[in-house]
Amino acid sequence: MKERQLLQNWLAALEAEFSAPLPSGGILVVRSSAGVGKTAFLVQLAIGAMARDEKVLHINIGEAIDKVDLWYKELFKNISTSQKLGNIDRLWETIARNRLIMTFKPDTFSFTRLWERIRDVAVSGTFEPQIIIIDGFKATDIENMDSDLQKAKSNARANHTRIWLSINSDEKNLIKNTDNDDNKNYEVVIQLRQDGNRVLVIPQKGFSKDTCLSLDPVTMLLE
Amino acid sequence: MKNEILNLRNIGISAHIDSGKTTLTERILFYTKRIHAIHEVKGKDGFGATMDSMELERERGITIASAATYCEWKGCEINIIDTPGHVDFTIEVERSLRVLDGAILVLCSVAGVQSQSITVDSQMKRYNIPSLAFVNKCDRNGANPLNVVKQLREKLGHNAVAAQLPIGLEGDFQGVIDLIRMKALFFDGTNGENVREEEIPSALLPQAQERREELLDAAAMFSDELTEAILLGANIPHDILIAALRKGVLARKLTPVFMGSAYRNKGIQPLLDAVIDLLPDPADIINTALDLDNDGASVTLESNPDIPLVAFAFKLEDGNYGQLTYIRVYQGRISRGDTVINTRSSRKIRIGRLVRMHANQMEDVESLSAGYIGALFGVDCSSGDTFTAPAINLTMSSMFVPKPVISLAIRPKDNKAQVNMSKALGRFLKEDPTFRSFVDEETKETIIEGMGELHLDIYVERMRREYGAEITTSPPQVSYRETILQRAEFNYTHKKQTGGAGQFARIAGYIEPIDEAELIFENAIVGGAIPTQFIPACEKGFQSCLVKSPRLGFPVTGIKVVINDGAAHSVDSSDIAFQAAARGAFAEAFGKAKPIIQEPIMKVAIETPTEFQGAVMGMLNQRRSIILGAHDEGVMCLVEAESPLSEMFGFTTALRSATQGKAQFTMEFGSYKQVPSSIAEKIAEEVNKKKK
Repeated sequence: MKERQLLQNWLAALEAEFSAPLPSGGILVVRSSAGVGKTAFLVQLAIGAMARDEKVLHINIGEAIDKVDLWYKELFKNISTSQKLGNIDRLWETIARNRLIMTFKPDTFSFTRLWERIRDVAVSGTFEPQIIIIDGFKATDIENMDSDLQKAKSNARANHTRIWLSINSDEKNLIKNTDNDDNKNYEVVIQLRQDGNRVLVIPQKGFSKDTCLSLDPVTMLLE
Repeated sequence: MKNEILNLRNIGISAHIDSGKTTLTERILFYTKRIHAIHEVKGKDGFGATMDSMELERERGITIASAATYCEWKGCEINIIDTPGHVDFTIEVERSLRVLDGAILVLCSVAGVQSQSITVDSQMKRYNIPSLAFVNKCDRNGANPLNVVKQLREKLGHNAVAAQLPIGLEGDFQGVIDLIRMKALFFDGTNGENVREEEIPSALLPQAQERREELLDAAAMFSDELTEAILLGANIPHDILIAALRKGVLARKLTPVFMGSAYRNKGIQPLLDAVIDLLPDPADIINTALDLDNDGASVTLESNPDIPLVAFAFKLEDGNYGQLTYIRVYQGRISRGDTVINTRSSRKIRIGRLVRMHANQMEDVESLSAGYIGALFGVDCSSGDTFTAPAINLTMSSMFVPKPVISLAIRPKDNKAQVNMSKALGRFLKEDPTFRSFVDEETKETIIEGMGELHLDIYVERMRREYGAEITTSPPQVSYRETILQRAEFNYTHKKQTGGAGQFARIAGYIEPIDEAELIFENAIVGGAIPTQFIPACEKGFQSCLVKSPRLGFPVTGIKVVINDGAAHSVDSSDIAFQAAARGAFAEAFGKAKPIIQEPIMKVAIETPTEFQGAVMGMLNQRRSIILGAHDEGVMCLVEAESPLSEMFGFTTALRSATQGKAQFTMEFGSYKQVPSSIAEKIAEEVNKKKK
């Protein structure tokens, strides 16, 4: 379906820049300070994945389901407008079933708990994700979770799943080189940085060359 | 009838389905010599339990209506209301707890805290009802009453503490250890009527001592005297321990747990002792009313029979001889021959017959004083009304009435059935605020709404049995809509010129889809192609098309109509002609505008233990739902989805089965969305069949 192709543009554009496709068990990380656009960035990529019938499990720590759902609806609307898509309600319904949102309270989230929930849902045949988005980590939290991350990668590998993480970092911690230990667990690292009106998408690891991407400040779509 | 409030207890017995409430009540009535023979719940002996007086209750072995009775135990009068366990009959629990002072929460020693246990516990919280817990069925395989104590703490947040320990369990269940008096109790005689007290068996003594320590620690939080006695290592006087426990119970900060098996006649008499020792009398409870002469200011009522009356009507029953109104007297005294005021309707009522109830039997009394429950005969009022002496103008807050969750379309077989059905509906609507009925404006069907499939099923059965109304039921028709997906032009001429006054009107323009309204009409006529005086007629004509689409007859929505050309005749044009032209234009364009059917989509939220999350999602997937997600809440999770209303019939029952009754769901209207093409075809087929 032509519309579905158009929805995949942003994801296809970004993946084209990777030095290698993200493997099963691989982690793509988006870092920025709060409010810059990590969720918007990941959601438009997720919409692309949903449009090519990949199952996306969007985990959010701290928000309610309807807030996360709203991100998807807003970005989908923006994509549809920019691509001049018609009958978008029907289109959304056909791809919405490829996404499941799971939200956790910050004090009860753990990778162990997460994998238990994923297993419960997978065992019932309801939803087996190919992509897991984990949105809402703080840098201090994730950096203390080295062994948990290793287990997560190993579980993801076994289930043929890729992981996309968003990490909230202070400004001063954002400027790191690609060989830094903090990125050792990740295959692809992207930084988002506010630059005047624009949001720069700065590749830090896993890209074949320097890429010049940014987010449109109004639609939050990749350009 | 004793008029000493301190020796009066008004209690309810509440629990999940099949925990043994009615069996327990039957034993209570037997041991208090209110009845002289025990009859079991599901009428195997041809009788059925005393409190299940409705034929349907005896047949199905379920309590449908709450039933009130009273008895005496060791000088104390106890009013008991036995309530249903099914969530469908939740209104009976609401109205009972509204007027009771204390409650016994019955739990199964095998299943423990179940979904309706959670619901009745919330209801008890709502009305601040102090409670004891009774872990029943200790004779069953898998009985684990101490685990139930733990569940009371973990799942219901009670400060639960065992007041007894079982002596043996399952087939070996013999009696209980009373941790308050540190004695073993056995129940001898054919019906367990003789309580034998012994020393605690040595094998159970260490555990008994350990549990008693826990009981004392829990009670000590409410008594300095007890704390001192414990610290001094002295013997704990029985009355000090009881006083401390009672204080904790009345404050709703302590839940002593008792144990037994009602079916095996064990553990009931000590429970009755606990009702007297630990549950409140009417004077212990602060009841308030609103003073309507003082801007609704709150007034504390006094349990004094000599001051002006305040009574609350909490249940109506319409019988062959008129309406029976159950009341609780909170202040003053109501006597035969008195004149009282219904503060809601401001009507004066003369009290004729005054009765006390024992299940479905009435006993005439001269008066009812503060603290007592009884019934008025032949008084026209509503559930939730307040009766006062003429000198005052107070009203009591009503009970909480939950909203219906399920509906059903009902159809009488013939005219006679229609008349009887209407009578039945009139009665049921008056008695049960959670039961609703209306005629659907669009489909003209009579729809009944209630708390669950069982709730409605019972009313349908009662219509048949009690009113001889033969009715058929079917799922209510879903209110579909039609709209369009694209712009389409029209250019329609309405002409009728067959001699005499004719009709002529031509309208041209287009229709296109919109989101924001049902219909937007825009006049883009230039040059007077259609005279101004006929424009409102054009709009009226288009408006009338929204009621029923020209295609499938469903209401139409989301259309913008723009008229930009037309023609009129100096003689034959009229409002009627332009209305007809508008209708024709709409029909012409509608079919070309890619019309679609839309269905109501509901926002569904299901709270379920996480172990059933997968099953719940699977069920939703089977019902064409879009699952938005799941919110992790520890042992429970909240699943949110958007589900077509047409797929949700029977969901309540299916959900209960799939989750052992542990999940609950709410559903509210979300939006209208396009139906899938396969469903649209089926709908079109059905519509065409009906037309033929």
